[in-house]
Amino acid sequence: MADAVLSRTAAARAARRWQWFETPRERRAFLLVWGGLAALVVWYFFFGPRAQYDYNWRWSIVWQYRRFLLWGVGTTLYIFAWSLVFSLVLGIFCGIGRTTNVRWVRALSVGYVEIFRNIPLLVQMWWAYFGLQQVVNAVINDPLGLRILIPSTFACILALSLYTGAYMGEVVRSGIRSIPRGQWEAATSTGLSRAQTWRHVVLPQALVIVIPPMASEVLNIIKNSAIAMTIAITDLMFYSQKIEEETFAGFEAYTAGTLLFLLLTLLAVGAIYLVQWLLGLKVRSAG
Amino acid sequence: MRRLALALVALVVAFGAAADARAADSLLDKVKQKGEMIVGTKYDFPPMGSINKDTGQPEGFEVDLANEIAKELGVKAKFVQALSKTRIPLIVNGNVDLIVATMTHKREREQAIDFTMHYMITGQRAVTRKDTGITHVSQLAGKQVAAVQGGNAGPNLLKVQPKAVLVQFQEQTEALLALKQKKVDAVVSDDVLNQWWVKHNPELVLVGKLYTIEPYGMGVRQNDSRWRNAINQALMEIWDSGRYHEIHFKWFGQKPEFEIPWYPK
Amino acid sequence: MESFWKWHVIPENLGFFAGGFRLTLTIFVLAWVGCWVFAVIFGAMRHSSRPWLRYPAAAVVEIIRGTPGLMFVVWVYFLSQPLIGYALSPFWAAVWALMIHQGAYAAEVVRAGLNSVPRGQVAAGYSTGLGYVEVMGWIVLPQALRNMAPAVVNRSVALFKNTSLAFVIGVIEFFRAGTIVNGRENASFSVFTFIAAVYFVCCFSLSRLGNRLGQRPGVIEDTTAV
Repeated sequence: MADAVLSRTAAARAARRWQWFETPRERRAFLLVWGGLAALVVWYFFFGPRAQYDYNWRWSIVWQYRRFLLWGVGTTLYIFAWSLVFSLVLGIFCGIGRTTNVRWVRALSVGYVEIFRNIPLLVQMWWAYFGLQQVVNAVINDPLGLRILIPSTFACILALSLYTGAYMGEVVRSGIRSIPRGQWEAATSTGLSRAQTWRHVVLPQALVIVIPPMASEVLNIIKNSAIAMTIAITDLMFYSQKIEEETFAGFEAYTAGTLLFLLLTLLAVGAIYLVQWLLGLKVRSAG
Repeated sequence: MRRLALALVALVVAFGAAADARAADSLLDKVKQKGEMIVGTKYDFPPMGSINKDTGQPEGFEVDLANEIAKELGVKAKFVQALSKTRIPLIVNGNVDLIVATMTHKREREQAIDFTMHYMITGQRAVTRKDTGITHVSQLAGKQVAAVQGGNAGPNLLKVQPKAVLVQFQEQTEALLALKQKKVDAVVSDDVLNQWWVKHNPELVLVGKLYTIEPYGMGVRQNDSRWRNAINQALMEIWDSGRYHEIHFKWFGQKPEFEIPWYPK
Repeated sequence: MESFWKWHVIPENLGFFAGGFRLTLTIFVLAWVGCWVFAVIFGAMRHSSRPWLRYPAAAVVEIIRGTPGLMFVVWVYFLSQPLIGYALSPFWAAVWALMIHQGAYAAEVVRAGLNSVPRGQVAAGYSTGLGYVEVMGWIVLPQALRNMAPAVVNRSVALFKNTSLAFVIGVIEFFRAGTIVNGRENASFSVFTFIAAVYFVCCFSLSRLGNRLGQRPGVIEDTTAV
């Protein structure tokens, strides 16, 4: 009975919400603002200073070079998959570590989060690729005559996982803290040990609560992986530039790359919705 | 998510807008009016273009040459970094007026930009560490070789040695670093840079002979003959007056062994 | 046999590093101002009750947020001429790119801040006869700004970190200064550890400030990793 009332009012609210303009004055304001903006853009592009520039558009390039784009997407997905796994693991452990009562674990987690959140990812990747290699060379390779090389994908995944793991740790921590203390006490009073409380009471709820902000961190992995191009990884960003090199059609190449990144983001969001639906949860959008 | 999908569609539609093709005035007038010429040059390619560690300003053979050309035209030169992969887009998109960045004059590049006359001829070769024992390009099969993305060196190597594995960096310094750190076994690059590296890094050694010929041309915008002619004529003035030879001697320690394709007034 | 402990490289090139750091700071300050202007405009539009303001703003913000920062910087630099008819220098292209890209994220912060003020208070304000300006100025903004403060600091820290992306178009900011020095001296470990340490000190101090501001109820969380 209550549901019927609620759904009626919700429907009514939704119906009202989709009305675009509430007053004629609003309609005029809309036309003025956006119509004026559109007119300005059209004038600028076709009659104004920009009109002097001569550029012929070649959108067929995108189809011709689809192979490059596909390779780029493949590499990006590869980096994304591995970084996702590692950063999730790191994030969950870090989140638990930050809310535990064991002091040294908490200090370690706080240290980890602070260090890796306050250094740019670019610096971290270069450090992992060049800096670490120098250490390995000096300490392991030269004395022992070995040749352990740090491949660029390894360096990238390492840096990306550590970086995203720090952020995910914070998210998990906020989720854990949102579980009422009463549940902890109830669990202890029914005889569950600490580990059992974590496993059966706290974590399942916390991880479900944090899915929306975690989703946005997952999307950030995809976007941050573009930086991998700077250490010689042939990802989507690299191939966008390569297409541009060969065809000199910069606009089309970069737009194709950007659209593909957006598409990957959409796919990731869709996958997260799927996971939520499969788990029987209410599907919520990313934060 | 629906918002994102709508946004995507809007973006695609917005950029399907038609272009216009209005002719542009010559860069020569614009540069003379501004009093300043924006030149793209390399920052990672000593002795042609690099950053002076004390002043933080670009210096090199090409930097000096560009400054001389600017003097001939009566303007000042302002320098911007041009990477191998960005030098052509910089000209095409109008971010710079002139590219003097160790760019080989290639027929396929003429689709996008115009070239001035050659101001130097060099070739390409591989550089390696002494401990790899590589003495010929054929030994690079299956090995990791570093090159800079957007330059000629990578594709040219693959023509000579298709089995080499290319590792593409953004700048020459990174390629050299990878070589020194033993991540790659060789670096392919233009010989002007190779000679410099070998001179300053005793653990490096050149591999075999040059396997390509690279005439360097300056890049200018397409269909702008007045600008291109102005640069060509400035170059010839610099050659005639002997300043080219002075600059060459300053950076290479010897007189140039080639002649620019000069023509009379 | 080479050692990796080449710390002498840093004092030798300190002037060069300092120049790069100065440029980083300049880019940061300029982009910070523009970023929050952009954020206020688009955040307010997204918060508005009028759909014709909300949806276009949402579209713009979502597209920009879905793009990698590096790609946006490259985009703005190369495509400034075809798009707006004026070729930006690398410095200004980086500033504008950071402004717009981080501005989209900051717009979300502004929107969350405006949302954090309960609607009931706004309604109460209108019902006691206050006009729009008074309601905004006396009821909404003071609370919204206080709630937003830690997230603003977080976003500023993220902006500072993202200034390093300007290196890819040739701006000689702090990170690139490091790579140039490293190319000469081959002291990757020392140079990059030094750069990381400097960034850490700057960002950590900023975020400590944010932590101190964030110890109250009602504060919005913003922990996005871009």
